[in-house]
Amino acid sequence: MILWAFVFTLGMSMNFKVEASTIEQQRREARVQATYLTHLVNFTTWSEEHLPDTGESPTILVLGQEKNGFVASLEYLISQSKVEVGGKPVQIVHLESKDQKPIRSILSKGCQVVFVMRKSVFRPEEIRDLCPSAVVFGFGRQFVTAKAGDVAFVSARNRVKLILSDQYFRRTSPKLSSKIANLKSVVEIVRKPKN
Amino acid sequence: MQNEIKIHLTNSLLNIFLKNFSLLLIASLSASTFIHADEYTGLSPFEKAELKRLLELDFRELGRIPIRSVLGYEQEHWRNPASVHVIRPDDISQNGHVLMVDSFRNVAGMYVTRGVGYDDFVTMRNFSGSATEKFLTLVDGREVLQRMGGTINWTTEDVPLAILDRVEIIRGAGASIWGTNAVSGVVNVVTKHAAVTQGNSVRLVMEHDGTFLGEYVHGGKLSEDSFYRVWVRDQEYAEGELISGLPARDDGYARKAGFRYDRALGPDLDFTFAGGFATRRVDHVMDLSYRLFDGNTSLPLNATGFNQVALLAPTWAPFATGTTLPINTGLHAGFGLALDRYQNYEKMPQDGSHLRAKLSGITENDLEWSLSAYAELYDTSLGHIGHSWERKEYDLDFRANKPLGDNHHLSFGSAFRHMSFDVNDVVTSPWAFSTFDLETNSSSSAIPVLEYGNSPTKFDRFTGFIQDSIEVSDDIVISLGSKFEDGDLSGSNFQPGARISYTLNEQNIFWGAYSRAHRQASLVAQYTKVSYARVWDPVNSIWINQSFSGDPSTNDEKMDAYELGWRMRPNADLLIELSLYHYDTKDAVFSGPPIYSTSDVKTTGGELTFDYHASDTWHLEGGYSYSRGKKDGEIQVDFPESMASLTSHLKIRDDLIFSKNIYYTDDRIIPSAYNEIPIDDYLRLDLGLLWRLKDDWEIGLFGRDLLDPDHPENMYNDLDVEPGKVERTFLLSITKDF
Repeated sequence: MILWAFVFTLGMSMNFKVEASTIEQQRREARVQATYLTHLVNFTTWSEEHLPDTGESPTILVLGQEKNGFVASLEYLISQSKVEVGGKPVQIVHLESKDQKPIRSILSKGCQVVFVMRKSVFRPEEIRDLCPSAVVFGFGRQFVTAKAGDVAFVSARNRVKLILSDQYFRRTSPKLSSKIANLKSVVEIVRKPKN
Repeated sequence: MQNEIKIHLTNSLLNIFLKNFSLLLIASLSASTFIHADEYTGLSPFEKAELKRLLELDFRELGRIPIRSVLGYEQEHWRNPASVHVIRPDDISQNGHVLMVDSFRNVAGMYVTRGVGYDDFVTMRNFSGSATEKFLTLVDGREVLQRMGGTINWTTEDVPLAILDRVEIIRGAGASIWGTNAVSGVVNVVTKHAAVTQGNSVRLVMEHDGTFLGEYVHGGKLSEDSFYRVWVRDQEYAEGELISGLPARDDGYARKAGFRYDRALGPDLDFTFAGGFATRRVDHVMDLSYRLFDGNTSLPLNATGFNQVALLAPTWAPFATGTTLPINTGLHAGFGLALDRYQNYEKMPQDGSHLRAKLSGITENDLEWSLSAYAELYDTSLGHIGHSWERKEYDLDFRANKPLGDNHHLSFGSAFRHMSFDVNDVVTSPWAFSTFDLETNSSSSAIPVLEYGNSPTKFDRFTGFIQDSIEVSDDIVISLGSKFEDGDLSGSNFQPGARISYTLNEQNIFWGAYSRAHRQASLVAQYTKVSYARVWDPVNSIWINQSFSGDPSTNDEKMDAYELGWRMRPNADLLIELSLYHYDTKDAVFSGPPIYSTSDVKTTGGELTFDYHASDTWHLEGGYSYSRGKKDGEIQVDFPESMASLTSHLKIRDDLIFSKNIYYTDDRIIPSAYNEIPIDDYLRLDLGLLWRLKDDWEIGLFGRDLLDPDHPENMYNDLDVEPGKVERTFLLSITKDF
């Protein structure tokens, strides 16, 4: 019977990979991603020049449409965990419109985290030019390996994993704690792509 | 008069308890109709509750959360079509519980009792037989049922609190996922990964009577990918009293040590190697007072037609024939008679050790698999009845699951187990006198209480299971599966199961299940001759042995379980669950003179539970369970029909928690063919203060059973062993976390 189980397993392992497809699966994926982001904010430090001025709140900016509850999850997690950056509570701004003017305006004022949804037209380099204080998040391995993003969520082996740019650890600000680098089961670190 | 006052007080307290419980429940249900405007639109209350739980996980643990999962594997998922309660370490420490098993008292449907100081009995949903737990218990995947008597040694299987991740209690039959013996439910104990138990942790618990528990855990890192921990534990039992006032002789100790090594061999490829050793030294009694009779020789034994020898001694003539009895240990009236007590205490040493290894991974094609093996050696001696055995067990288990297409998730597995026993039965000294055995038609001075004889001692078992979780739509998920088994103890069988989960709306989920579960009769029930009493035949001037034999042809108990459940979350802070069940069991094994018998048992009942975060500082939990069983048409009285609990944790300051627990347990009878022991209903109140100091230190001061100086709870069925007093206790706990 154990032999049967191995043969069956071999057959199963030849099968193709599947992605989360039902609404519930997609929403669950979004909740896990939002939780990762919340944790990463707590493990990131910003220098004084990259923090907002007195009276203004650190900002997590989400660009693009989403329908899986990612923004709602993030807002809920931020409220529950009372995340602070530079000693100030964080605010979340979600801009769904493709109109670039308001987006550029907010970026120019300064954000600490920018999350680029799948259909957003903004590229990480553009974001960083306008807003050097931001950690830039996105989806898919190429967001980091080819587009110079800082963090990408990927779904691999039925789990949510993180692809991190090594620049996120090396630069002075914003800088991720090196404790995260050792979590190889969760995190893959890639070098900055050559331009 | 005193008893009348006690009954009146208990009824009054019960009324107060039930009134408060009802008012709170009504308030909670009413609150659901006045849901405040949801500031975070787009999230259901269930999703918010899950986010709260995800927030508590670290990166490593988040990395283990599956996107698509097998229905029934994630116990805290709101669509899980099962009645589940999850216990976490805080549930043990904040409620003043010493052992993990004590915390089961807070689980609706679980009936947890203490016999003497080291004996804990756990049953679930009206499957009683105090020494026969009819649910499957796993510790990190290792099945811990003692096959000889069908019991679980909770002392041996307990783990230090610092390494406990959670205990999942699944009420209801779950054979197709979990395996054989998951008749009334499953208790799944999971310890933490070695990576999250780094540093040093100490826990000390001291009771006012001298009972003591000490645990030390040390964890370290060998490399970036490999971690270890080692731990030791010592529990010292102080002597208590029996309900008659006689000393219980239940002092002794239990000591354990263990280790665990975890290594990440690659992305999503993990290896675990762990082991443990436990030793317990206590005494146990064989009370001869109700086992020696004078009178006529008609069989089967009818206690009302005989005189207990204890009533007649020391003037009773047959003592002169060479009968040797232990010293008279006193007089008691615990059973309605003024009876001399003749008690023989002997040692009951137990040693257990195990090693286990597990390799697990996830392939690029999302096939999640694990291969695990364990070896166990268990050595025990019931000195008071002269029965000892050594058990060796080897197990190899493979299981896997994989999403198939958009809507299917298949899980399957296979396992092999080999067990061997070395059994030794001797006659204890008080029993070593000439007795006529009707089975052998001869006299002997060496008839042991339990005789395994030349019964089989090697057993193999092959099992396999398959289950498909099907997302029919976004609202409906069903699972269909079955377990297959072929073994020396129970032959070949199928144990199918079907479950459905239906999401009515964002706040309400309904579920239903059908399962067929098998429970194998214990080796004692199948193969052991029990010589439980002796009768003096005055005509022939001989003792005659009274015995009943096990039946090798005893079939598995087969249960068809039908369950319905409703899970409601009006908001993220309140969860209400209702579970209903009907069990139809064929060939349920009941022990006791004159034979092991099987009966048909029908059980109907349910649990109503709630979990409410009334504010940031006040957390309430509670539950009520009802269960009525009928054995061959007659109502069973060996299990309390009603039980309830209410827990309150109030944060007086950020570092100070006031804990309150109230438990109500209905009355029942400890069954016996000749000495039934009634156990009155009781109300228990525990209060405590937990002070959290800096640097992970915690001090707790608790009072347990504050309403009553003492009360009896339980002891072994049919073995006429007097229960101990469960006494009012004060305890101090000091903990240093990692």
